[in-house]
Amino acid sequence: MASLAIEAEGLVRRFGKRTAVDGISFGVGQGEIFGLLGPNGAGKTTSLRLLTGLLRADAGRARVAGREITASDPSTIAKFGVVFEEQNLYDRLSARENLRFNCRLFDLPLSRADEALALVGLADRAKSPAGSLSTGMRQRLLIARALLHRPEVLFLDEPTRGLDPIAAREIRTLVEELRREGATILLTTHLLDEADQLCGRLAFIVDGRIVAEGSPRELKLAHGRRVLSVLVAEEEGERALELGMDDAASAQALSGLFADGRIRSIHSQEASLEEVFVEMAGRRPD
Amino acid sequence: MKTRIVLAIARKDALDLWLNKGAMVGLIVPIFLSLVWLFIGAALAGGNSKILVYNPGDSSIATVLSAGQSKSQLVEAGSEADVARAFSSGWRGPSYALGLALPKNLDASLAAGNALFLRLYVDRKQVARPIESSIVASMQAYGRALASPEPPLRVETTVLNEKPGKALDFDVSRLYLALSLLISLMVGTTFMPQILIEEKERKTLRMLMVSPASYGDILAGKVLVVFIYQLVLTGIVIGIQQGYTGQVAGVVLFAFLACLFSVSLGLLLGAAFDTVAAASAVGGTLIFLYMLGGVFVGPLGELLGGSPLSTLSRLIPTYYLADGLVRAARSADASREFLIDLGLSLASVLALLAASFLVLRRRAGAAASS
Repeated sequence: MASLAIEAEGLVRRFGKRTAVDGISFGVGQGEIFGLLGPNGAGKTTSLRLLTGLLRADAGRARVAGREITASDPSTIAKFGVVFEEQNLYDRLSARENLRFNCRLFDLPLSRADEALALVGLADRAKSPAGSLSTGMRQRLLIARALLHRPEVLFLDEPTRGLDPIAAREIRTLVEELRREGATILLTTHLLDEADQLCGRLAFIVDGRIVAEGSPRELKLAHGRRVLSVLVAEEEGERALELGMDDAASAQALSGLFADGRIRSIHSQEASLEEVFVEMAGRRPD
Repeated sequence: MKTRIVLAIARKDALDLWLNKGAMVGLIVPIFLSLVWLFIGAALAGGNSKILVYNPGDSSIATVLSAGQSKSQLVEAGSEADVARAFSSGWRGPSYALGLALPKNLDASLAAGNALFLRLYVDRKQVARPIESSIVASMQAYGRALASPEPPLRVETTVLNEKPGKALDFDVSRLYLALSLLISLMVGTTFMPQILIEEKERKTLRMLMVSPASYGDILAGKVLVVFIYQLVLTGIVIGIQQGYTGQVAGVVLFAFLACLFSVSLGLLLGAAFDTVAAASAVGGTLIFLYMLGGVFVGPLGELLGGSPLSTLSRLIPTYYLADGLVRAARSADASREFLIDLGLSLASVLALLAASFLVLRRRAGAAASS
């Protein structure tokens, strides 16, 4: 793995008696997309706020782009961009004004706003008030805002929540483009298919703890049950069978079926991330 | 605190308020009401009143007479006897609302502590009792400003035409000046919490907290933009009410303090509440309360002095802001009341600012993580 762009070590955050994040540790390499997956209330957003300095950790430490996150330090803040779960835009201001405001905050040339709008395909809506844009366009505008100062690391909190399938696909395409350009991205999501499609590695977080970590394929292989779907000829019609790929009894049954010449079709079937999640967490994601 | 960031936030908020139709209505209402009151005042004030003064020593006390009248013209008399003649029952010349004959060395005598006696001539058809009382009080205040012990100046009135005329010669302009000042303060009291709380409600505060802006920069930018809006509006409203008279520096000072008062109150509301709706409800009640402070200022206050409501109004800090402004506009210079107004206004502004900063400090951490 390349040098780490994001490091979390034993992060703990309590709200009163409730422990929202309970000693999580992980690292994200440069140019990698890392997903934090879990059901609502699992601690994903709290983890993201700890990593961006919006919340102080009760224990543990976090580093982003090689800098310790202790408070809202401007030199560290310039290293990352954040897209929050809420579409927090100034609705009365135009798309361009929303971005120009951030240009002024980060002391960037104002032309950067139009470049960012073009990047996310909103150049023709530059003058539209942010409040008049569709949910998908607003999400793209949020990503443009987070990218304005060309951060090394991008945090995306539930980037497709509340979007229709077409808008969600647009956002996923945009994230993939950013990955191709070498961006380091940490995204939180409760959508397992989205994580499977986008993330090089991911961690399942349940009740504030990481219960599994790895690439989607590694997790499926390590925790899912690999099966063969076999269609078998019977005296009257045919029958579907599911045989495990990792047990001796199935292998024996399969060789018997081959010998009898009763197999009409056979397909290998990989475990889904959802099945892995259910196995690890003991419940389905919301 | 970083000036570039403070100005960026102020610019954004100024534009955001400009594009907010509700806020713009809030800006127009005080101007509209001031204009309405100006026309009402002009309609009630009647025509020009003439004041006949014999003032061989050029004493400034003569201006006290005109300051008490909404529209007046000072006419110089040739002698003390001319003034007395103009207010005699057989007089066939031009009519005068007020007449006053002053000794040559009035100011020096007052300063030396001599007890002096002045006769004020009043035409009741043109000058109502409340305004007469107000003028007498202002003349005595002028005397007190020059010397102690009290009373240095005794004023007796001779009234012509005991039956009052139809015209209401009441100093309505000063009453409306106080009310206009106070209604303009609604801008700071409503805009300040709105732009503070909207950042929390829209969750844009989170975005700001992961930008180079500190919480102090955010507050400074917002205070700056609301203070400028408030100052401009108050300036316009006082101008409409022709309030830049008398001691203009005093008028400006009290207008400035009133703007600080309103923005500080708004800051406190913005810090204390988490929703615009809650802050608006409380803000609306406070605006109503501090408007009451302005009703009993000036001539109406003198007329109703001693009534329970008038006494209660003195518990409201805005009473002193409005009273100070009206006194400054009427040239009631350096009187004890003026200094009391200044002291209490300053104290109320400082107390509000201190309370705002205390609450803001307590809630700063929560604001960032909310």
